[in-house]
Amino acid sequence: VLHSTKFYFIFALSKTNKKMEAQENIKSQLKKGVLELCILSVIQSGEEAYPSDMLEQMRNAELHIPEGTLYPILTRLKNAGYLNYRWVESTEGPPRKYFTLTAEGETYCNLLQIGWLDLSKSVNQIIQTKSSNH
Amino acid sequence: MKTTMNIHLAQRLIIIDTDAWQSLELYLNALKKYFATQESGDEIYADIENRVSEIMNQQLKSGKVSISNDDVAEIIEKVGDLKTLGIVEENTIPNENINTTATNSNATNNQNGNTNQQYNIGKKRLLRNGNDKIISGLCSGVANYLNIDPIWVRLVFLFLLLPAGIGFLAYILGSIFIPKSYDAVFNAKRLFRDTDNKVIGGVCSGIAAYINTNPNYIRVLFLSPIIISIIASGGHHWHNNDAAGFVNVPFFGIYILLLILLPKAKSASEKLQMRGEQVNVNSIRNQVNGNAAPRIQNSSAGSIIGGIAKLFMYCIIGFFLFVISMVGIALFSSGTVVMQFSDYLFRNGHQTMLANFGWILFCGIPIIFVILLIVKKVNGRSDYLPSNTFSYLGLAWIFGLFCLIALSREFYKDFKFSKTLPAIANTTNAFTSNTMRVKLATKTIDDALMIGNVSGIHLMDDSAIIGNVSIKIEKSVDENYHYSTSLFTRGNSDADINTRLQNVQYTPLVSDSTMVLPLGYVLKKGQLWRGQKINLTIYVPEGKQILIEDAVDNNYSSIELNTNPGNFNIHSYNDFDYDTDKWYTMKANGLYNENDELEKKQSDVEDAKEELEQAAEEVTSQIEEAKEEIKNGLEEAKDELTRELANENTPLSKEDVDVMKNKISKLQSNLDSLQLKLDVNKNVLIDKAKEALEKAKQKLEEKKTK
Repeated sequence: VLHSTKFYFIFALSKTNKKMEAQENIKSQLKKGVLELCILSVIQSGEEAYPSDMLEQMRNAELHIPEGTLYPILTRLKNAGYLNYRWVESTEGPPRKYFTLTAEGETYCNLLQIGWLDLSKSVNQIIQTKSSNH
Repeated sequence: MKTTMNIHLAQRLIIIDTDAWQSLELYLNALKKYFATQESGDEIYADIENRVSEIMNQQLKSGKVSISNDDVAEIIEKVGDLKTLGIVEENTIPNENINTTATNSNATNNQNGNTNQQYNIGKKRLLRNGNDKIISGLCSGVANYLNIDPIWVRLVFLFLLLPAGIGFLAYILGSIFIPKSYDAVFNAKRLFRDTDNKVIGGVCSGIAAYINTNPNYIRVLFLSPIIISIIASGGHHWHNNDAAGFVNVPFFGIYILLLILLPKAKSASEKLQMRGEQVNVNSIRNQVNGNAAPRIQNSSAGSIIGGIAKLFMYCIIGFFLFVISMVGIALFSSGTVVMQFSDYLFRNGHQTMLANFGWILFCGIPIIFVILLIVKKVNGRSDYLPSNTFSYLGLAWIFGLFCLIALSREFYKDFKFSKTLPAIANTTNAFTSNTMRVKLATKTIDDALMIGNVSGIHLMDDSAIIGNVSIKIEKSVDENYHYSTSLFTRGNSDADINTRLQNVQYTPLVSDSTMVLPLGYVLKKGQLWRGQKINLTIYVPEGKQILIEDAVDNNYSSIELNTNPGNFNIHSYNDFDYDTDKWYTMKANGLYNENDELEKKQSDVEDAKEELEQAAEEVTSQIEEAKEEIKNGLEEAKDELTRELANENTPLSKEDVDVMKNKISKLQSNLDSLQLKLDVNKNVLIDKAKEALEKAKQKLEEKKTK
């Protein structure tokens, strides 16, 4: 995650010229980098999760992502054995996929959360030192 | 008014505006194509499709009548387009490989959540391209395989087609054996016709869009040969200027070729492709909304150039259409004449079929083509024509052309060998009369029975009489008239020729002093015409006469009248014109007509007279000249003398007298020489005149003795 975040940071900086646009871009890149963590955490917080509900929950936390980004991540996590899903019949439309964490997923999620907290702490510290120097 | 449609998207019934569906389909297809390249992509796509349908379902439930274009835009914003989605993946999307062009499969099939469709992305396979075809999509398929603009492949095929037909064979084989697919679409920058900015067909504006310049520059380039030739010739007869014509034709040809071969940029993605812009959901949306590359505003200079181009193009096209239709009609009508004789021309059903196809398709299609074009132009619409009508017409025309080529090959074989049966000098048919009148047999055929009569060919229900007879007149070795016939034919083998020779019957009827020639030889139905020809030789004894009636010449297709000796053809050699309906006498040197001889002698005398007159005139003019010269000399001498005499008044010194004496003696000698000159000239002139006279006399004498 750190690696990809760094990568996108540089990528975004070099790519765009306009400052405002660059900032917007960086925010979205950072968001996407930690998306995996967010999704796992959302599923962890409840018993079962339906993708639309996950989106709803993230939106409530002021985390706006393009919805389409959710599905590839879900599939990837499922393929990696972190997630499980079951079909639930719906009153309208096709049956819905409800996701749960596997045991491995649970461990992975915890590891990610610890990693994020450590990282954010370090990053915040650096940012604060930097801004106080100015 | 908006049209809506019902679609099944992820097992939900969605009511959507037609235009909104178009942009949604574009979007979904783009996603589908992209995810097809990813691991578990089918599943991801199905999830997204499900989500899109869920959102739309919610919108409809909340009271919306149908999903509009704005709703779709909102959904795309919400769910994310390829740009935003792609970056989330570890391997970023190579943008130019994302195919966002809608495929042709029908809507329900695409949208049932049926994601089992296999994609061959990455694995290259040669397929004909059904999405982009002029005839069968082979060229664009090959272009797709090679990843180049189809126009180049089409041009190469066309040039292979011209000399040997290799391209044609390859094309037919390729069309049969290479399967067709609708998946492939050429994505890179590509040459289109830009019909949004067109003057005639959008060729120039398409090229301009491709190289990103003003279309007027290209138009001027195409028009430049015409403009240059007009300027160069000062406007007079510029169209007769050979050099300009030489340049005009290729330019015009290139334009027409591109007009046929280049596709129109119809869809939004094609318009983007034409300008080499990236094709993705965003750019397409811009293009559709009219944000990108607005229509080029035409300046007044531009519209003048466009007007000139249009005028010239229509003139040239009109002229070509006129020529095509005229040639077509001429060939078609001559075809109807030829086809009357099909029973005698074609060996089997195969040849008849080739001829029928070849004639009808090759000659008929240009006429149909012109009629369709005119109807289309007058009505201003062509929707009553099935799509690809013109392509199929073109293909059928080429088929007709190949039928004719195949037929001519067959005919080449059938006419390859030839044989002349030697003339048998018939001693039994010797005729002792003093004159011989050669007549044509009266037509005993009932006109009602005759189907056609074309220059000596009489066609009846069950047979044809063909007057392919050549007549030769030679000197008889004895006192009697004779005739002999020799038969000539062509065929594909010796056996073929021999049977054909046996079937040819031609016998003149001689009674006393007339010879009646048949209308020709008879071909029964089933007997073929393979160039059969009768060589009839009539032997005329010396001193006896012959006359050939006009009807004979009119009926027989080739009549050569040769005389013995020298075997010269009267029709084309010597100023001796053979006339029908005129009596000729056989003499030692050949045939002579009494009247002709008299006329000839008279003209000889006239010639001699003229020659003499000319010589006399020459002599008189020369004498006149000499006289004039002498006169001038004398005048000069006189003048000098008077001048000298005028000097008498002044006292004369001894030197002066000497000078005078000298001068006088000089003058005397001048006069003497002049006299001498005159004498000499006189003699020479007289001799010359005498000589000329003698010559003329001699000529006359010579002619007389002749």
